[in-house]
Amino acid sequence: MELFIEDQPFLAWTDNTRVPPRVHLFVSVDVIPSDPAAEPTRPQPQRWFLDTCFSGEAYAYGYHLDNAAVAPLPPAWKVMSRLTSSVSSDDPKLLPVQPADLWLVSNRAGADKKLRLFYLALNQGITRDDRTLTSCDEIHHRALIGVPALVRAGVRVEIDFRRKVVSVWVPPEGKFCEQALQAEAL
Amino acid sequence: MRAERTNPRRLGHRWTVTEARPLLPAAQELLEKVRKGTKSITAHMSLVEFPSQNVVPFAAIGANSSLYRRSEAIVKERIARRALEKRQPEFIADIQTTEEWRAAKKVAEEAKDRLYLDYLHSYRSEATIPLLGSHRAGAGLGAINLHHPDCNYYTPERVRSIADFIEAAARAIENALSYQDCRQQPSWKDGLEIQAVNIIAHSLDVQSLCDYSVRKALELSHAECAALWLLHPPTAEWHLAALVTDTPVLPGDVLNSRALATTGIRGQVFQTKRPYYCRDTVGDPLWSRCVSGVRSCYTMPLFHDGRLFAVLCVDSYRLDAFDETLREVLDLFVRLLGTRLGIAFRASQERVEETYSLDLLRAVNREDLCRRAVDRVRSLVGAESASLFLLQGGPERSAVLAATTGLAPDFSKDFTYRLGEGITGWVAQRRVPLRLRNCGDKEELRRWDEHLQWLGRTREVASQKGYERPLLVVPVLDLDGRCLGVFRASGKQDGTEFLEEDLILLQQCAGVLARELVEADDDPRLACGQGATEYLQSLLEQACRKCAATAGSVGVVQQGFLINVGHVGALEVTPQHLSRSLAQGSVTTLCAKSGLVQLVQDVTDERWRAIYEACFRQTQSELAVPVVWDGKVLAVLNLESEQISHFTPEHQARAQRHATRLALHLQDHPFHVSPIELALVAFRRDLPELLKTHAGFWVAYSGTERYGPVPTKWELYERCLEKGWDRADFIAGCVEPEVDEIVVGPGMARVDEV
Repeated sequence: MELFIEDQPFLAWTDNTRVPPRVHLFVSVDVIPSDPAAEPTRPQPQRWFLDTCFSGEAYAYGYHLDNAAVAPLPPAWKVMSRLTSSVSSDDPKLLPVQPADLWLVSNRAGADKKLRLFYLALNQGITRDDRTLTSCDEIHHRALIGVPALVRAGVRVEIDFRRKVVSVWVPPEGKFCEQALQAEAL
Repeated sequence: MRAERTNPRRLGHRWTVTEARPLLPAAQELLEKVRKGTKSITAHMSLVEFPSQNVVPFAAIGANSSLYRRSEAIVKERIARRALEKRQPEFIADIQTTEEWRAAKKVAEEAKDRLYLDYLHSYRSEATIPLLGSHRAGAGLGAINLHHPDCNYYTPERVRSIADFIEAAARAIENALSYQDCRQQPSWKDGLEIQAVNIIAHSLDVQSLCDYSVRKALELSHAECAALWLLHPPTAEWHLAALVTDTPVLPGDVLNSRALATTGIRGQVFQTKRPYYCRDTVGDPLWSRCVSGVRSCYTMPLFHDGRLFAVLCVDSYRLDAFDETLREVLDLFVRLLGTRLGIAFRASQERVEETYSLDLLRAVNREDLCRRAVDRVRSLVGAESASLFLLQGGPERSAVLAATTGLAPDFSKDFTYRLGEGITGWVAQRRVPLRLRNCGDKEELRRWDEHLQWLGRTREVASQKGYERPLLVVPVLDLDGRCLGVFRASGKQDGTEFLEEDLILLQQCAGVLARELVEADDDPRLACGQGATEYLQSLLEQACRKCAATAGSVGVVQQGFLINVGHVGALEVTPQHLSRSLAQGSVTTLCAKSGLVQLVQDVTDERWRAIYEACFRQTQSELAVPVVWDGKVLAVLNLESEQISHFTPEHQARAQRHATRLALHLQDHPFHVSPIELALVAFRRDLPELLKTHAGFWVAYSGTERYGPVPTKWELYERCLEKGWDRADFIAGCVEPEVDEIVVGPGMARVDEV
């Protein structure tokens, strides 16, 4: 296994609506969305979050996918996913699932400053939410990766509760690619 | 007053009250009884006006009985309508706590209307009791509104104690309305004629025709079970066409029933061609049990063109239930029915009625409906001109010209006949059809009626002097036998006279029109600019409302799948879960495959548990109706309710009517399901099998075509793109258990809460 993401700090949030309150972990990782089974067209890492509360594959706002230049939804696209909030008691809402895949970005920078990417194949794609944003803080509009996508990719995740960091190892038989960081990148 | 009074109790509700009286005195007398019985201060009666269906104040008795204001009348109408819909009394414990009362008081205070203020303060509790007709469909007649000065005075017990009075009031109103309709009552033979005409006139297809016939026979005989068996000559078998019992029977069980033509009681009737009366089934060697507990039965043959083609059986749990008079009545009914059924079978083969009905279903509004009705009628019977008069107004009803077509319509748009006035008024009053060779011939008129001969000297016929022509006048009767209007066709285009067949054709058209008129008031007609999808959705909503269903969906059949294209009500799962392959077992797919109506009265029933899958919250009973065109199932209309055994035969008939409209709509605007939708359903269909053999592999679907399984998504895409598939045309899925719903944390679904 190859160490891919090293010592990424994690945070926790508490769901106080449950009795007893339930603690969920989330860790920020760099990710690039792409068209399904294709290399990213715009190698610009985005800040996504791995949240243990999220039960789906991947969830993002429209601007995440548009910024990554993922092919727009075909007009007659009918693949929908049904989304509920763990806190709100509102009726579930239906959101389209955009065909796409994710590339995990390594935080271990090489000598040539190139991005090293690992391919995460998604079942169907990313649930797309085009809701208007009311805040510019991206921690409030988190794009999410769920555990199922990581399970399918066969990665190893190590949580160090003493140092409050997470490390991720990826299998060598997985699909990798290397791309030069774009000038306007983060 | 009445020509014949033979066996009055058994000839339907119109003959049940011994004395027919004018409406107002009868109503006032009964109101007074009800008022005294409940010790109320005031009693009001409002009636449902026909055919507008408005609830209008009609009579009042007691203190302050004339102090209704218009605003109050509207409120009372709303309450009365609610009581009629629920078929239960409505109670207001303290009127002074209601908003309407406060609003009325405010208005009265502002207007310094002292008298009205006193009236408003004169009572506290109120009860509204519905007056229900005796017909099984339970058409509401109106409501009685009672007032008392004490709070919480009216209780269900108190109302129940005067149930007899209320029932008598309902009967009196019904009878008086009937009396109003025809001051000269038809004889019971005329009554049977009307019933037989009704049966034929209100049936869109042979199946519903048989159902109506059996229901009418049951109503007429006061028995517990009735069945119609049709003879199938090639196999010499009786096929059960319709059955009505007081015990529930699944339609699937009944429709497959067959019996040999020569055995049992039916065999006896087949051989002798005469009715067979079994006074006591115990000890009768011919009797074979079909419904347990039957003690006496009467089996009658139906003839058309001298040939036996069906038998009608009525069964009773009582011993010797059919006396001589009743048998005579039933014989006459069957004789009339035989002719009618025979002609109807022929008409259904020629599909005249179906074409006519579909033409009416295309109407945009009520006016358009009337215009289409006369246009088509004129060409069907080959008349020079055709007109339609609709009955309007309250107790003093009159027939007003609604639409006319053809040569020389000799009356203006506002032409009106009061009941009994002119030939049109005569037909509206008597509710019997009229066929004249020459409407200027006084002798012929006299043969029909003295009244008509007298008419020969009055305005209608006199105005047509020198213009002597054949005339066909037919009443438009609803299912309860009430007259909605009159059709008239005059002058044959080829110069001959109208035949009996023309008359029957016109009666059939009148029946179809009556059904449409009753339904047309709040139909979602295709308004200008409304899209096909919106129309489909509004049709679905309408079907849900008419059948009092809590949820509903429409699925279109395409390439072996049932694709959901619209739904109403709160879904438990995604709409995609409503779409499914026809190979999957479910109530809707069963309906799509068989083309038969599926009725699940209780979803927890053992028989349905295996295939029933909930799509809507708290569904207890379900009705799936096929949308059929040209013998092919286009779609399925699915209605669901939160109550067990919610759907009645009336609901079923309404749902079927909506299904016909859907069929018409889908025929005009074919629904194209996207390949992605098909791909999704196909993937779901195959997933259970794939999970057993290729878990974790990847598959792609374009429409129903599959590629895979292959080990990785990357490889799958490479292969599919090599095949020439476009990225937008296919879906790629992993063979994993499907997740119905995903959960996100706060701040994801509702950013406002952060």
